[in-house]
Amino acid sequence: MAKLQAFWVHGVSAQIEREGYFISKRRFGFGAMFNTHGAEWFHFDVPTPVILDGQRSSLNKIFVLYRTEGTAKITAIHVYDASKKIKAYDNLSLSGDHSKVIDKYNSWVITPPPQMIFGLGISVHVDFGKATTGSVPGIMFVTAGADFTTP
Amino acid sequence: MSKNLKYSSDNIYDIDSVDLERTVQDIIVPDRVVFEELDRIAKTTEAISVPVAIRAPPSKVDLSKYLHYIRYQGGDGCWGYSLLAVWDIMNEMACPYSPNLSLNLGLFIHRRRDLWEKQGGINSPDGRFHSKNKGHKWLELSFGCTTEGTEPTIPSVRWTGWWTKEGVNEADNYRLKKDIQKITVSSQQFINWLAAGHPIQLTIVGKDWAHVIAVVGYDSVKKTFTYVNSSGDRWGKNGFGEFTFSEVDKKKSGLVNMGDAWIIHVIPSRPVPAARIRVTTPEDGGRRMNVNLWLSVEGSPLPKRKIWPAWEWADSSRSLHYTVRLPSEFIWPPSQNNCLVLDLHDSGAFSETGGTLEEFTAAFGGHVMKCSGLSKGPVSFKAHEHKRFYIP
Repeated sequence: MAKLQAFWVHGVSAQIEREGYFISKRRFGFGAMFNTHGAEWFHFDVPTPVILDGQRSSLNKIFVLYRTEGTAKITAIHVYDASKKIKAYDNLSLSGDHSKVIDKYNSWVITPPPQMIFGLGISVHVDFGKATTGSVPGIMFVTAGADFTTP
Repeated sequence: MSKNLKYSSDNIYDIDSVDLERTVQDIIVPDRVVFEELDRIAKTTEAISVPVAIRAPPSKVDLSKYLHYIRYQGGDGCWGYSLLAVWDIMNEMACPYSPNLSLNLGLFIHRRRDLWEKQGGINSPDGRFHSKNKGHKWLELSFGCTTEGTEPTIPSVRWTGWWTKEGVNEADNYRLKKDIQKITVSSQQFINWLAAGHPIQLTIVGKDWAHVIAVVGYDSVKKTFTYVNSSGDRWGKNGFGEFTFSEVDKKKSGLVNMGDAWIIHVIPSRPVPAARIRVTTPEDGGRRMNVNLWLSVEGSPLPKRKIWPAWEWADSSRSLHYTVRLPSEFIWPPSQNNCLVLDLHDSGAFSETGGTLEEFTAAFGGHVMKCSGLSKGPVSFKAHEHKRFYIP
């Protein structure tokens, strides 16, 4: 029977692809909040048990728990093993509060499960939308993680 | 009305009414390095026509409504200042409340032009080497441009050339998409480019001088083009002048010949949290150089950021309409527990008129918040007075 392992990081570990004053960043005990306009990539580096008990592990499922504000929405999730893209979920349109429990809008099963060689990266593309008069669109990342299995 | 420029006792240019010829002869020193570079490009580049035919350009285009900050160059640097006027307009059209761009580093033209020309490139302090030989004629293609109020200023020093971490961090947001392009000088081409949202840099040449201004609009009924100079708002009509269509077609206006014309293509900048401030001083003797402005975050241990004045002590302008990036430690949005603070002090150094604060607004994209202290209208200040304003 396959052994299941799970590794997670807190939302404050989210890295924005480009630094600059065009994005407002706040990091709290309960997550990291980013407010801006336009589109931006965010990256999570998840600790990766490439070998457990002498067995190479496979990636079964990934998770990104988040909450959006205003017009912000997640439009793509890309999954990397070091520099190799192993899965891409494009043409997404995910918004709302998915920060508290795991649901079908914040978890993705990887089929077939790829064997992990190096380190897992989860990249999240967020389209914040155009400038609006009411407020600045935002996304809060609460946590991200992955399930791994070994034979 | 004086027809000549002269120094008054307090070293302020007394500009009541001057013609362009006198102005450029007396205060504009052509920047040979830049003009040599422009000449070189002009000789090796074909002028381009507007790529997309404008079937019916509107009868009037006024891009000056996107230009709030009227610069005062003082000495040389006209090419850079006119380019920043063009760039400010294009930024404001694409992204309202864009900070005014700065020549403080003088990257384009002066401060490290020697390295750029002789060594074929320049290192920015983040370690990147910006090579002139890899298709980047201008540093603003790769490094970008800083904004006003970011780099330290010294009243007596025009281009400090000081690199700051904040400047490096923000410059990438303000970059040119490709090399500056020469365009055909003709009234119809100017109309087409302006109608397409492209202000135009135009070189004007006298017997032994050259100058550059920015054409920002036209009126087909009056058959005139409007341009902005870089001699502050007491020059011409609040800083603006006019050429007729026929003068552009003849490439001659009085004693002034018209040289090459240029447009830029910018990478649209992204909104950054910014403050817009408007200060006016009386027509009779007022000077924006009296006003000192600092932006800060209430309760922050960091030093208040001095955002005005810029370097030019001889600036005779009376009004300041100025947009700067908020202090980097400020987290949007402003709130009762997160106040943005504007400190205003009138030094009285150049006149005793005092003035009026008409606008103090913070914006991030379309989210705009205004100073509660101005909710009942503009607030006056006297010479030697210090006042503090808050958002919200």
